[in-house]
Amino acid sequence: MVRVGSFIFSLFFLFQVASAQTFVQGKALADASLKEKAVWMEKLASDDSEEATRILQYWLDGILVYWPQENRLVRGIKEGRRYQLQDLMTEEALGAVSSREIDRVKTNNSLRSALKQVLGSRQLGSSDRNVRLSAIAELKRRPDYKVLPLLKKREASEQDDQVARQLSELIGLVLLESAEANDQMEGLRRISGGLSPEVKDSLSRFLLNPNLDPGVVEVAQRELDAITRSLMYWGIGQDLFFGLSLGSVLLLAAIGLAITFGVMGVINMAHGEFIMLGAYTTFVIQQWIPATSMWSLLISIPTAFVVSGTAGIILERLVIRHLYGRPLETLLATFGVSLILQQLVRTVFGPLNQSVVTPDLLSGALDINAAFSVTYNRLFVIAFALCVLVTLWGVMQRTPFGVRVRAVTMNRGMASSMGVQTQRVDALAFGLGSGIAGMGGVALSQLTNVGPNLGQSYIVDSFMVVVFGGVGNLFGTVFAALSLGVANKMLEPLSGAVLAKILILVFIILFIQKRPRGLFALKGRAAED
Amino acid sequence: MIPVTRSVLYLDGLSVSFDGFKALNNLSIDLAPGELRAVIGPNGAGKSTMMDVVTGKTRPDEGTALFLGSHDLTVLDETEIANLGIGRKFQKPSVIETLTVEENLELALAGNRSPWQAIMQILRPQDRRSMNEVASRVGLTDALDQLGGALSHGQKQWLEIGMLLLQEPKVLLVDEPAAGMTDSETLKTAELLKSLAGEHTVMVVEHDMEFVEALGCKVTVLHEGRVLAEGSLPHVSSNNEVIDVYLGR
Amino acid sequence: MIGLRLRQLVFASIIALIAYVFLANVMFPASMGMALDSYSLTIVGKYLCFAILAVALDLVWGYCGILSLGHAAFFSLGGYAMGMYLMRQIGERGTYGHPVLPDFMVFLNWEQLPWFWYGFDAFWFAGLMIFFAPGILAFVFGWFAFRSRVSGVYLSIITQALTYALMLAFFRNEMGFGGNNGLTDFKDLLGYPLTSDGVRVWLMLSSGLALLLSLFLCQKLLATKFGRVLVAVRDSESRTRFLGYRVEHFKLVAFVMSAMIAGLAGALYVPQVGIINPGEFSPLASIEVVVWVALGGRGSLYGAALGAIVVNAAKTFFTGFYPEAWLFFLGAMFVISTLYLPRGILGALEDLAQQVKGKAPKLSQEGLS
Repeated sequence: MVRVGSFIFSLFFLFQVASAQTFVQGKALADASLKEKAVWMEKLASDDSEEATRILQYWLDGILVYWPQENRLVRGIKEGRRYQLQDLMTEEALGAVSSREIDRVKTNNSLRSALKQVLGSRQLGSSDRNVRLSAIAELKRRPDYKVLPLLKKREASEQDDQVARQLSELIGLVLLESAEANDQMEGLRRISGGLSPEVKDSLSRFLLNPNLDPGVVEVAQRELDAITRSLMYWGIGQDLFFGLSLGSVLLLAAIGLAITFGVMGVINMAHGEFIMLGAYTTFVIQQWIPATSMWSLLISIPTAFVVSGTAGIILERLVIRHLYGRPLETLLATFGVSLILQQLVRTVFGPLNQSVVTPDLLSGALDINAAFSVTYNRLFVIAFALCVLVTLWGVMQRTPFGVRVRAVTMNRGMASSMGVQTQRVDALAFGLGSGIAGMGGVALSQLTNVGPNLGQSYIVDSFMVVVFGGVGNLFGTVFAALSLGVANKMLEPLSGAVLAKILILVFIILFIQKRPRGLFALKGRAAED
Repeated sequence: MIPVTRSVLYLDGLSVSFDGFKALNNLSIDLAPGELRAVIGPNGAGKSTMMDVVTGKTRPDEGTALFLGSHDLTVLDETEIANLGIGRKFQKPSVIETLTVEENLELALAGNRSPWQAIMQILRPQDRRSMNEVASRVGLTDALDQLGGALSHGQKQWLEIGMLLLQEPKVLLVDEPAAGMTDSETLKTAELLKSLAGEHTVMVVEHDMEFVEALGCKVTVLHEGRVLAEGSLPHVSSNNEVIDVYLGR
Repeated sequence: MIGLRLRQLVFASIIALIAYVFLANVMFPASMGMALDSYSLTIVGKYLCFAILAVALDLVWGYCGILSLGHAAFFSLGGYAMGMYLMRQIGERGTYGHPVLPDFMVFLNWEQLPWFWYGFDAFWFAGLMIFFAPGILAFVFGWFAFRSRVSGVYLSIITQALTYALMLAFFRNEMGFGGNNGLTDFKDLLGYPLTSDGVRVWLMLSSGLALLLSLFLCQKLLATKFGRVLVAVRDSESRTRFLGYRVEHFKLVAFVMSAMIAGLAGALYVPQVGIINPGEFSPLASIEVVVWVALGGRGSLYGAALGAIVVNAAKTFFTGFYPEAWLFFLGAMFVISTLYLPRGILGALEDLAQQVKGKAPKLSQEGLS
């Protein structure tokens, strides 16, 4: 009984193999003209087997090869002058041959796109939902009326909600290709509310058709208007989101500057370099703890705080202390320090940008819809800035240290007479401000390239925030940072990044006319001195 | 604009707050032409703030401040007010430290203040005479070449007074002129101010009661940003409230 | 207040230099045999132009207290004005051979000359613009800035912002100033080829003369009451207001004059180095000017000129032999000059001279701020 069974089984197996092979005449395919290849492709398309799928896939990938010696189609990957051959189904290595011994099955652009369509249709049935989704996305690019039956068949059996929605939209796009008014109406109904660029483009193209029914035109125009309006709102939302994340970075960068300027009246030109140090700290930590883990980032945060904070305290002790009461000299001296720090980093790490990797947890995005997606890294930056802000507020308002800092900011002489050790407050406030800048650098590393010039790009913006928002008031800095960030991002699509920056700079210069001390400046005689 | 009052300086209902603290609280005071007035009061009473408002350094939140009945001091800036004829000697001597005494005096000279004039101007003989005259009046003839920063405190005070004189203002606001002076210098200053009254209107802020006595003029007492009492020195000295807050028993 | 002796020393050195070059290169090149080669001529010429720029900054900073961190912008504007003239002079000798349009415009497929290039084929017009362009910018900027009473650190920051914005703007190709390549490939000035030694000598000599002229004029100006008012503004701005002086106007006059002098410096610089590009607008360039003045001796005019020459000589040295060390050196110069040399080299030399003579050091102004 076992012997019979195994015999029948092997017969069955042989029959399967044989039938596939006999179905596709490898040589014929290889030799076929482009037109004939198209016919072959159609034949393969109607064959549901796994083998046919593979043949089509490898054909598209350019690795479908005919091996005359064995009279079969195999997979052939080029390595140097030779081809590594593998079995179509099992991917078992079959050896390497020279290019003269095989015949590659070629394609051209039109065949390729046809292949993509066919494969796309196949992938519709895949058990992996991601494969199905990407197949649908691919098919949306060039809606083909011919695949409608296939799509409808698929729709009937689709269980996954999200895939079903996408599929419905696809069917809608396809129906628009029909000449029948009923089909078109159904198509319009299906795509209603869809915000992807394919939908918008298809609709626009659809409306160009002169032979449309007036009723259809009306509905289509309405849909297009609705979509355009929606896209505009979502677009604004997207820009707002980018603006908030930029504003959060500016906030982290500028808060430190506002603290040191408020407490000591010094503008620290090396502040940008403290941001840069924080970013490089992240990079260095990533060399030890793999960047893909969230721990790498979480450890970088306090480390950067310490690194930049310490650098700040050192700077304060060695340089700034001796220039007390001379803000312009301090500006110059700290500028010198900024040059030194930049060159130091350049010498140690090299002048080129380093790549800082985003942890897995923060990669990717939440797609609210086709026009609005919230990337996790930006969300993280916003949340992080918020945490820092709240913590800082707590420190400033509720801790003795915070009270001392605020006292010295408002009236140094008085605070000193009341026993506040202003020198110590200076050093610690400087450290605090610089430390926050360092943490800003960590956040920045998640959004942009890290290089020795990183600080320079953000110092001008930080100054603008401080100048705009005024000093001595946390809320002022927050407001200024967020509004400048949002303004920058809202202007960008209209005017380009460079012009946006210029416009904002000009605005600030003009703004200074009205409010030389910023929006939320401290008032009173002591503050003016 | 038709003058609404014959007072040289008319302040009415002035209020100024700094972040919630009311430095001036409905202050009203006026000076007649040629009058010499002393203003006294405890620290924080608003004396300097009042002068700040008059000279344009601070803007009041409420109230009227008129010069010569028609110039609104609440909208003009420091330079305009100074050129209209209101001169101030500050509490803290504020001469230009890096210029010589002579150069300081030259700057103060009444006359055209435009940059062009400053470039082209050559010192006229009569100007030089005025400067020398004032220099001798304030006792700085021998110090003309010294830098302002090299002077003693008292000398700086005198230099400031000298500069004020050369400005030929209609109104002189003098903030604590006797501070840091010896007794004889104090007397000299009082005499100087008395002699200026009549042609000029003079308001003096002081703490030194002997000085105020020597001035022998009407006294205004300020307290918490408003006028507490006004009248001759004996009159206000016997006012109970004034005694309580300021003079002591 | 730097001593008269030292000032005269610097002045004399410049005259000596000019005289030397005149004699050795122009009058008796063969017999003296000590002519400077063209490389040295260009370098010295550059230094002299930088010295003029430093003097311009010292006028507003040393004497009026306006720390402009964007003065290179005025320098560059003057430079671009000259550059535009020189570009127009190229005519058909450019790569694309267009008689009117400069190469970069042909490359951008532009049909005609933008309106702001009109007139630059005439030297007199370019000459006017060399002063006007920076002058007008300084006027407008100063008008708004000084009127609003922005001062101190805030003012310095917005001068940085100004030059930064200009840099961004000039980098754009669409602006019509050559984009990031700038203006270059000049052929001749007033008909004289820029590459010839003779022209180089005259350019260098002109730079030297311009420096002397600037020093002389500024000194004369500062000796009048105007100069004293500027000092008063620098040291007690508010008091000066109370004396009845329209501080904004004085600052404006000084600022505009300074900008025009800086423009002149830029205009003399460009034909000697053969190129002007937007990098000259960079914030760092302006800040370097400040270090020249601070190191040389702020508030002395001559110190500023000296500082410009010394620092740039160091720069040439470092970038030639130890390029990596240059920024370290520059940064260190900032720190050292502010911490230990508040009156610059000239001031330190003077203090030394006083000590050697046995006198007490002169009363110095308390710091720069």
